[in-house]
Amino acid sequence: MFMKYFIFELKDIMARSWLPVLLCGLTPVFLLVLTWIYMTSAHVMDWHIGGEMTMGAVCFAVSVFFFLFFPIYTYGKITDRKLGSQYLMLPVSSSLKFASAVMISVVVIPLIFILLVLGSDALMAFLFPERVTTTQVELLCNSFWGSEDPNSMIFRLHILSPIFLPFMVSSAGLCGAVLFKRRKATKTFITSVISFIAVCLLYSLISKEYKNCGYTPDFLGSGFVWTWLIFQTVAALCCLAYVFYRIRKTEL
Amino acid sequence: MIKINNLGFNYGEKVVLNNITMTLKDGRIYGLLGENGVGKTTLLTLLCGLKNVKTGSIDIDGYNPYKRLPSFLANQFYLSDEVAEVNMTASDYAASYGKFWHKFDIGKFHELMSVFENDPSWKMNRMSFGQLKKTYISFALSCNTKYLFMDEPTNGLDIPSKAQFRKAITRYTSEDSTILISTHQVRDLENIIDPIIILDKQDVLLDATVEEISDKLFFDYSSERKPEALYSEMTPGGNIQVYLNSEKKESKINTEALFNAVHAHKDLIKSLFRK
Repeated sequence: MFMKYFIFELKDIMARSWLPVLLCGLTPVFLLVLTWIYMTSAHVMDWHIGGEMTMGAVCFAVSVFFFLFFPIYTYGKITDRKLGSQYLMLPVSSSLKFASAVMISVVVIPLIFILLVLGSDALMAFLFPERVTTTQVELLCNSFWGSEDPNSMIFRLHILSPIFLPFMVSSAGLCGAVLFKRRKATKTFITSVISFIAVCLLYSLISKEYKNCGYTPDFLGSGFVWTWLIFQTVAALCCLAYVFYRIRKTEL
Repeated sequence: MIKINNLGFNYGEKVVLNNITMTLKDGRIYGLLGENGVGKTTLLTLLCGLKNVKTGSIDIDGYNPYKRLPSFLANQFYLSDEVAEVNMTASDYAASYGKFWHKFDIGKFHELMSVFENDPSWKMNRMSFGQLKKTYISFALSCNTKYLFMDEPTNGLDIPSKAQFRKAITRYTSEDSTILISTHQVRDLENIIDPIIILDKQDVLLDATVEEISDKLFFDYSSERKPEALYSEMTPGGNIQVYLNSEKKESKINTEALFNAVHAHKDLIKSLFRK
């Protein structure tokens, strides 16, 4: 029954959302075109798009927005009287609906998106090697098999982002989709930003306390990356637990 | 069977349903009538499981609707007054969604669409409201569920479609199906609803079969005005008057006149039909 419902929902979502997924996945193409137009109009002949500082940063930003807003676009209907009734009244258990929603918005669609981004980036580098000097795939490979420091920002962005980012951000997006009734995207974004700032402030306060004692524990020092990932994983799981609760208990 | 026991529901401080108790038997087409805001839609959404009761209970064949178990949902269909525009053809919609109701009949769906003179190859988000409504009515009837809850199904339908709807309800539903249709356009559903439930603010004014109503009330279509009439109204053909059927004469029920008579004499009607 899960496969039947999952395939049904995936087909429905892809039919409605293939264009936004495709457009966001082709970010490297749009970036190249926009840069080309700008540089040509500025009469700059010798230019290229760099690796992590330009393409990587833009792809990262687009990814965050995509992972946050796509679940809202897809599952925001749950709180709508017309579409939500149809969703809730479908003779499928709440557990299956939840599992399917998580699989689609946290795993499948992000995977398709990442493959599109990496694929279009590699294609641009192949077609225009003088303009795209380093691809995101190359940066990932260097990070995996190279000599990068596991605690460096670059390592975090390139290794951990494709794995943990969709899980964390999509879970927050899914939570926002079922939590808020109106202006879901705006409220989810603002809540996420405020939560992030609050956690950063908390980290600063705790670090300061430990520094005053002249001691920095591992989880705040060299092991901070993993502390941060564990914290985000727990937060994501809490978001998903709330989503499950809302699918079961929503009243329209 | 649907058993409603001391049901209460409120939106914040506004109490909509209070201490409602009734039993809806299998195989009947119930008409749920009432003024705007008395809780018809609320009752339907409670019965299908979209809302949870605040007090009391609802039991439908041993299920609590709010739990939304698949086995319960597969045996019922809720047609809302506002229907969603979906970006697919009616035919594709029926084929995709219908497979979740184990008794869904795609042939019946196409037959009903033909009865309603609706083209299943049209995209639903390009249909007019009336066409969309007819698509969903066709789908609802094709699910062949035991329970069918319809909220204002004739809203948005043109006059010929209303007649087609009446025919479809009587011809395309099985004898053991229980249908609950809420409406405030009583003329649209005259002759097909039996029993009739009339809701008032936080109360049930009437819950009786057509036979019981005919037994206790007389509907007089003559032009002679009777002073003891509970309700009277001039119509193009004469008068319609409702009064107590002390002589046990037979008459044809006029649902609109019944509704007005019930509202004009709430306590009398309640005591007359008390079970």
